[in-house]
Amino acid sequence: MTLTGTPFILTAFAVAAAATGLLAWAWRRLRGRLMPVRVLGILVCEALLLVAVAAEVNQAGDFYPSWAALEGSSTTAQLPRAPAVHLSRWLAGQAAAGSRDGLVFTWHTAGLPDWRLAGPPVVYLPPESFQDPSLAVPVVVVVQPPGAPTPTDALHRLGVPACVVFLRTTRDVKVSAVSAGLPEQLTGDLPVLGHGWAVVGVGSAMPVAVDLLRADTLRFQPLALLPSPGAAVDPTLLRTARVDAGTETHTAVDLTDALIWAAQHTPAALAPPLTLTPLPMPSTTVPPGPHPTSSRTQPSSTPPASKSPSPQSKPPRNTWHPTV
Amino acid sequence: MAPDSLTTLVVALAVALAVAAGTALFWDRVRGWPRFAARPLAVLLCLATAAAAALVGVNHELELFGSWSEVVGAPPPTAADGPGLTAAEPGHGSGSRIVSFTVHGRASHITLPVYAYLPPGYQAHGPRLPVIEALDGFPGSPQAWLKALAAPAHLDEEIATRRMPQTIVLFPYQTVDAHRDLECTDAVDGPAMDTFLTTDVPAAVGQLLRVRTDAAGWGLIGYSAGGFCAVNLAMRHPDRYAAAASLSGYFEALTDSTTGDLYHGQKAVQNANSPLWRIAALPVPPLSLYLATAEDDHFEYSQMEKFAALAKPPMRLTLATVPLGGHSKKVWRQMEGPAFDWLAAHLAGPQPDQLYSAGKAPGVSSASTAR
Repeated sequence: MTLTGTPFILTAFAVAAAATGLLAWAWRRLRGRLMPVRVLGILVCEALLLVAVAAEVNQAGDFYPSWAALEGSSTTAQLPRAPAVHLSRWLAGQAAAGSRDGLVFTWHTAGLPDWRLAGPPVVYLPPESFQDPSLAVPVVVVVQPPGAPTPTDALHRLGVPACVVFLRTTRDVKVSAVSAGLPEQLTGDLPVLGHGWAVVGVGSAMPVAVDLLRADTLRFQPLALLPSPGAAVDPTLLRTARVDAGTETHTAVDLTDALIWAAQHTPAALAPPLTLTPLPMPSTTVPPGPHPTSSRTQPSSTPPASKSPSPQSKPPRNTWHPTV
Repeated sequence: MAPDSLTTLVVALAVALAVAAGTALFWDRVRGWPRFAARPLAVLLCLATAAAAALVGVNHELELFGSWSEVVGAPPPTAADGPGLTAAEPGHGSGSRIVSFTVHGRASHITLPVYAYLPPGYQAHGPRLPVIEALDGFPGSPQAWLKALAAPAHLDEEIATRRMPQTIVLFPYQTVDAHRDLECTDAVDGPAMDTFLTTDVPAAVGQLLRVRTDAAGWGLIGYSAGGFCAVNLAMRHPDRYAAAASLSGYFEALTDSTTGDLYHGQKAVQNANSPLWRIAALPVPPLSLYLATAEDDHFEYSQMEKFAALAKPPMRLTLATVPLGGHSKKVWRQMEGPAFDWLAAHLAGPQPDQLYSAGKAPGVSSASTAR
């Protein structure tokens, strides 16, 4: 008999009526020492009637559609898994220096030739990534012209923990490969959030930054643009970013301003969240690619040139980070 | 003695028991013609007191009405007439606080109290914190979030474990009459709850609390009717909110006996308050939405499926379910922790109040509405 079925509701009312009838039949016999039974009878009849009314209300509102829904006490929120990324071990080895000033290093990653950049990306990880390896930090992608310097001073003025990835573009840069490959490789290698990546476009590389944003509007959100000295941002670029990609934009006065604005428009650095059972949705997350073979720039860090892990030996991917 | 208090429940149960005992004891003592009036009256009193005790019990469990004025359909009592914060509850051991304040809506002309969760370590001169507005179902009140769903304890836990950053969570009233479900809309020729919730409340909070003022730092969450509110308000105002979470919400502008005639037959206004219509007919806003429901919550599950089928970039959608629980508090208590975590990950974090000066004019920011 289902909780919301008419048979149950009719039965509930019938039982309440029968109990009331029984009480009425026995009423005159329940005197003297049996008086408490009379009181109990009244309370039982009231309770049965209320149960029947509650069943009727539940059927109308569909609050508890089944006995299982009423009784079940399942706790389906899943506790987060311990994070592990390809460079976890290497990062642990850099903790002494990294936990003080963060770490800037050249990031050699699989698929790099396909991106057609001027060179391998330079990555900054904030001190918080070393102080608490369970945190996933947000990402700021800086798209620069070839030969642009890495503004290490500015990285220490962000005000919030963020991973900053510097890409030096070329005329032949393949934005589609970058938009797909960069998130795949970076989330596999480093403890970063998988979404809400801010983008900074610098000088002649601004159109590439906007193209990157448009290539994956689900992942790349706010956009800061820094025009070349004395120049202005092309209004068409701004319009494309705001209207076509629907993103918030900022025109910066210098790279420090751009980085601070971008970092402060990303989510906070977070531990893995509680999750419910996810339903399948289109996702930008793809299986992790192989590994980093990195060398360093600063301070004195060089990620190990390790072998590509086999699928079986891959560490758990940081799937605790919400995907779109 | 508030209607949702344990004292009220105990009194209601005691009265029901006393009336039952009195009926049993005095049934035979009333003789002659008075018994023809007294006995039916006793039966009615038994039923009425039992029903009242049951309703008080339900209210105690679900926190539908937090004050007697709400019970009789009057606006809730304002926490303080003057400006400023009032401690609404004793401080928690974690260091978080619940405060209340009254919003005198300049745009909506509505005056209602709002409760706010201030996280541990909140400082009036600290970083500007992200904000989440939490909306309840109908019938309901902010007490539903605060007590029935134990939101402060959940938030304490999520922040302590760094699954959330420091965040201010607001619990506004969303109707001027606890007997009427305004669906958080600007009702035609009626109360402008949308304006109150999306304009007046943020304006008041910006004056009183250290909060982010940009859309990137503001989100919405709600259960049941509040879930509808969260998604509808976010879709209507993507320039003010970046993300919303709906727990067992629906996606159509419903009208029934509890809402009354919100739209006065103006189909365009009703459509404009219907997320399903908006997502099909208007440009999709760049919002992040978290939609969760129980798999056996049939109407809401089917509504979620319809909405998800129409969603497309730049909207970012995350769907989640629990297998059992229907449309109940049990489900929402399971969902709120993951939903708060998700919101934290889709809102901009606390913003240090450091003004960068490069010796030049400040940069120009602009928010896209993409409507």
